[in-house]
Amino acid sequence: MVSKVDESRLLKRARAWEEEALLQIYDLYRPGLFRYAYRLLGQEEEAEECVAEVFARFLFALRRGQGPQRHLRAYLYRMVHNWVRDRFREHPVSPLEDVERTLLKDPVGSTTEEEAVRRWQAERLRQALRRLPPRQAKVLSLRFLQGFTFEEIAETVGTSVGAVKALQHRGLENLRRLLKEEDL
Amino acid sequence: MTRREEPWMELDEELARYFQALATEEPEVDFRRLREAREHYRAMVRALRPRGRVFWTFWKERFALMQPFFRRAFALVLVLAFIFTGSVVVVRASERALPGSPLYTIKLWQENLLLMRARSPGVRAQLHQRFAQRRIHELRDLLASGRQQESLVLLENLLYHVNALAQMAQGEPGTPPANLTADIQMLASVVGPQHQQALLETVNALYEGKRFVGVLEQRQGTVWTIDGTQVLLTPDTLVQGVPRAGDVVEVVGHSLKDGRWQAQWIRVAARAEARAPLEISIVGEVQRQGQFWRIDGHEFLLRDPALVDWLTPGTLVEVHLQWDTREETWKAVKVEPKTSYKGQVREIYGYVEALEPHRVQVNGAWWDLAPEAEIEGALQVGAYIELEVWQDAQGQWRVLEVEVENEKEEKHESGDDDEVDDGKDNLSHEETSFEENRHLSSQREDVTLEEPDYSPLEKGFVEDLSEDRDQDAEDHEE
Repeated sequence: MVSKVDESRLLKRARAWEEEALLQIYDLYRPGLFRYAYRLLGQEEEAEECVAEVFARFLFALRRGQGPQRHLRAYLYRMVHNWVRDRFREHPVSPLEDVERTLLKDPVGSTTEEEAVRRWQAERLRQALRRLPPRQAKVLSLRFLQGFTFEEIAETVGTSVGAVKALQHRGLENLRRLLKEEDL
Repeated sequence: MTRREEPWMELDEELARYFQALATEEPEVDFRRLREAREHYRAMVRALRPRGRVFWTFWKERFALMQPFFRRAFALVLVLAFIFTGSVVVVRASERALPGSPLYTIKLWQENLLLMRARSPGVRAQLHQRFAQRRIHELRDLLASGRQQESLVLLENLLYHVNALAQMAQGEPGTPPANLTADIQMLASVVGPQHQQALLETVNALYEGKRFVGVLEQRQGTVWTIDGTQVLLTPDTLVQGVPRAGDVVEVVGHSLKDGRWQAQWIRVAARAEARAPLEISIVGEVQRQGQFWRIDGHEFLLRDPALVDWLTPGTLVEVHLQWDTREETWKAVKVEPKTSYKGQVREIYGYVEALEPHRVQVNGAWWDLAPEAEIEGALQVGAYIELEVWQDAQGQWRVLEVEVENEKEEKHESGDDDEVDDGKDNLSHEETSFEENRHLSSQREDVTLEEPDYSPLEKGFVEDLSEDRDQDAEDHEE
């Protein structure tokens, strides 16, 4: 975790287009972003594509003098979440496809029963998150998958901490309801 | 593991299992693809590098990353460097500034600073000289552009440098009048005659009521006219030099209530501008009027008194006149006899046969002695004399000079004088004179002289000095 002071200096150096600073940002945030994208997407290739495109957009934004002014981490995670949202909006994935992808990824007999249950639960939660309202899904993902604090989530979502807590509450209720549905 | 690393633990058991399943799902790491992705990102960073802003953004970022102490120090150095560079640029730019320009103050300030810093007298003298030269150039430019009022401050500064130079040269404080005179002489010579008047007015404005400088127009006894102002000279007034009309003179004194000045001393500051002499020549009869001479309406002064020895009123002469710029009058520089049928100079030799107060008889003829006639030697009956006669415009013969030749006998006995060398002794001189006398007689018949006084010429010893006479003599021999 990078402190806010260090992140601010790093961002200034990145705006000055210091190659070292830009690579440092990549090395610092790329693993977390990749994991986050993977957990939302369920595919390494798509997660890599997502992260690569997020960093490309980040460079273009810096070159135009735009991009994040302070919260670099929140900015990058927001871009990942938006990319995933857009990805599923443009190419909706049916539950059957998800099962197929899960089976292809984990052939029968290669894993234990406990591992299979875990994967099944993970896939059900991934699908349930896709069906949640975007802001609720974003709050729950950042909170329980990436371990963001309410303040960090508020910076990423662009709202207050109280609103984040409210979104979390409503999102968890909706999530419980979705997970109980048979046809999820 | 902390609570932050396992956030789902705050959820109920069912939800916690779901989130734990997804949160612990780790992607497989392909290091080769990871390295490729990183290289791809680095290439993109280099490809998208903004051009032109690198330098500034680099230093800006470096500046931002500095520690506060070094940042302040660096900023201070930058500011000092900027001030120094800017000062140098401004000082250089101000070197050509003229009064009225904001940079001119900086120019003077810089000069004063240099003078203050200079410890060595030699360096100070060089600086004063250099700055005085600057003022002179500026003064020229200002006067040429008609900005006379602004030249006042400039001239004051110039005099300051000149006075400082004079003091350093003399080793003691110079008296202001002496320095001022030197200044005026110097300035009048450098600014040129076309700006002289403007310069004088500027100087006068500096010393209003105490001294002034102007052109001497006229000298009439103790009242001189300088630039239209009457200046009174008292017995105590010290006049240095010989001021002449046209000269630039400096007057120290005080102004009187009636507008005139009383001078304590007057000194020539600059001589009148030398002009090409204007010359004319006129031919006419001489008319004398007082100390002036008048010929054909032209009034003139004779520069050399010796010129009037033979010049008598009524004679026909050619006078070369030159205009005197200081006296503003014509002066004769050369007077030549105008030879004509009634204007000839002749010399007559003979013994004085009779003598009266205003005329003399030579060779039987009476010659009137003009009042201005010059007589050399003791004129007495029996003396051998040489008469120089002149025929005026009216045909009257007048004696201009009588020279008593006492040495005639000695010359005759020695036989080594010029006349003997010419192959003619003194005895034959009389025969020669008779021949010439006959020639004159024939000439006189041509002009039909009416005056009976001229008849003795036929018997006198006459030598005609004109070229006409020589030509006539040759014709006569033929």
